[in-house]
Amino acid sequence: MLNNLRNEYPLVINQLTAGYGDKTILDGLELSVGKGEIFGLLGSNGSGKTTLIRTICGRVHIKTGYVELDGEKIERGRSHNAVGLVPQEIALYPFLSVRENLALFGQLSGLARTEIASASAAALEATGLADRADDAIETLSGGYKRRANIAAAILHQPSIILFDEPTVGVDIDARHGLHDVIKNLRLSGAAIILTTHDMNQAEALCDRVGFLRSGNLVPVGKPEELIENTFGKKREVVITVRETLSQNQTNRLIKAGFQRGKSGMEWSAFLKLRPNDEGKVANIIYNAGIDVHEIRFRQPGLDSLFMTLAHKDSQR
Amino acid sequence: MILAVAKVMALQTVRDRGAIVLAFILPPLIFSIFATIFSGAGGSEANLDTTIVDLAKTPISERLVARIDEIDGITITEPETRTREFVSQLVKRGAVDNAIVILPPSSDDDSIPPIHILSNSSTQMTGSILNGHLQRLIQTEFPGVRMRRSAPVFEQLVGGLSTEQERSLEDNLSRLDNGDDQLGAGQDDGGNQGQLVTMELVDKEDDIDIVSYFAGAIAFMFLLFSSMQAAISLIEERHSSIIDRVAAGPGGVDVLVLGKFLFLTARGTCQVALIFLFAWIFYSVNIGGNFFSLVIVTIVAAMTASSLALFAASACTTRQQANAISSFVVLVFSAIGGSMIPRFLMPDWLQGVGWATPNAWIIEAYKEALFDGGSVLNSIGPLIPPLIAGIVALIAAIYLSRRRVYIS
Repeated sequence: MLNNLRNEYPLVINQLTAGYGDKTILDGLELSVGKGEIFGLLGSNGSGKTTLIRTICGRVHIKTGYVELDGEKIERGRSHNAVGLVPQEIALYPFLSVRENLALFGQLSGLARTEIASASAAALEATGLADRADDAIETLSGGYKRRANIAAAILHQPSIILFDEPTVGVDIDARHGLHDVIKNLRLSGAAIILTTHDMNQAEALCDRVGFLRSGNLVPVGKPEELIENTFGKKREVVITVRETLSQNQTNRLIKAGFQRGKSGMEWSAFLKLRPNDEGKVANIIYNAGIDVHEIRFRQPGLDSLFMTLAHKDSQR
Repeated sequence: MILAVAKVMALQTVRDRGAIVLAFILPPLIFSIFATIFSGAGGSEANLDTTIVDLAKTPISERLVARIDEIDGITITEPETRTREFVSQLVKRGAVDNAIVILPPSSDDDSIPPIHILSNSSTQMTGSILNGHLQRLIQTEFPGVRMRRSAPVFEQLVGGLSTEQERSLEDNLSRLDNGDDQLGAGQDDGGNQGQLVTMELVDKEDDIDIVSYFAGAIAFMFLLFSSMQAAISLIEERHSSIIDRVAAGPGGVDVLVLGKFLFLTARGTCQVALIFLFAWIFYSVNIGGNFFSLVIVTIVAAMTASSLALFAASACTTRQQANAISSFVVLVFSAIGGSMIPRFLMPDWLQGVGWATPNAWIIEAYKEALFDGGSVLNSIGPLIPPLIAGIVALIAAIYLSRRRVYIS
């Protein structure tokens, strides 16, 4: 039974407490990621996402609990070839071609020389880089560099792939292409962890997501379930104002259930609206004399959940 | 895996024209500038490490030796064997800067000056300084010696001296030798017949030793510079997360550090080989006399520079920090270690401080390796301190790199 569980979950984290020196960053964290599953690791800056990734890579001292990769507990400082890491930066040598980089990282991943050519070909195919294999990394566009970054991580066919902000700084077209690459990688059976600040990306790609708060993952679940559990039938009203609000205007918005967004010019509220209630909301705003640039009514998403949780955490 | 990392470094160098210029063209160029300047240079203030052989053993010669010992800026080293041949070898090997040989008074040929200063080509300038000291000493404190040497010429010109005149002359010359300032002190003899001191090069057949000196000195300075620049890639790899990716593999970060060490050592060996090739072709430096020693010294020099550079890169957090620190350290090491100016031109205390730098030891090892007739063992002795420093630096570099990746 236990073996079956290990086979199904390449990554198992149990009661993990880890950190740097006396500082505890991860506190009793639990997580299992199954084969072919994409898990979105979400959280604000400094919440411990990078620490968790580093801990899975065996780089951070585990105080209590354990991390199992393919059924084997990891030890700090020991390599675990089960992991393929796709860092946020382009962790490749810019003056080398894609193929040369793959050959190097193939060797460093422990692949035999005879295996490198076929592994490189497979990685190039999986990332759609076969036509650009002999181009130097520095000559590639942002999107292709990201693809090469992924190719170098999957050469040795890891059972766990860690993506750290894989689409930062790329345009929408390239982002969609990268989404396709990541989705296809799940077909290999690898467990995928994706850290991102792009909630739309998490919603589009992830089977499950977890919000890292105070050293633990709370809540964890399927994106649509988390949204449903939090907001129910409420809709989100987002208004963008042109000018800074007076105290009176601010008070009136707060009284109507709005909370200030990050920019200070954006306010949002989660309201149960019946048909034709949109006009009533608009009236409240206009009656307050607020110069509005835009009013949007939408279904809440992961970004709404993220903001709500961040708001709760800030009030703690 | 280590070879794979070394190969990447090699490709980086080959594909970066700036790096090629820095690594392979600049060192011979700078070396030739120094070689050209110093092969014909003179000097003034210097501490002269000198040995003396008094073959005359007369009261005057013994007093002369004692007075030379009192001159500021001259350090007398006692030779193990008091022969001209032995001290000549000391000078040739660079064990001392110069030697003074005082010939016996019974020398048949009066045209041979009684005091010989032996120098090698690299210490020729200090020989000149020593010559100046001796001339002044003889002129002010031993005028009788000089005049006694001119007496036979004078006697020949006047058609011979009577017994009384000879006695009077000898009395007065003795008074002069005993320091009677009223008699003839300060006068110049103005001709070769009265010349007491002569200079002699002990390595006349290949008078390019200063060039050999600078070949080793410049080579090591550039090894430090170029190794530091290349080792900074370790910081870039940290920032670009390459080190994270490598750390996740079976070799860990050790592979990255050791691969760089291997490449830097190989590249450094090639750089030095190029400098000596240049010195051999254009300055006739004898590199074949003790070739095996030269190879060993070069490999150890390259290993030491690589290790120190990797240690600096591992210790620094940013590229700017590494650039500033490495430039400062290399310049200071090179300046006081003798890579820019020969150490024998430095004051005693600075020469002492210089032994704290790898440059001084490596230059010493090259001096032994380039001395035709020296043994490999002679070169190995000065290599021990830099070799130990290199091993310690490499271990420290691996330890620091691990600490940056595996966080406590």
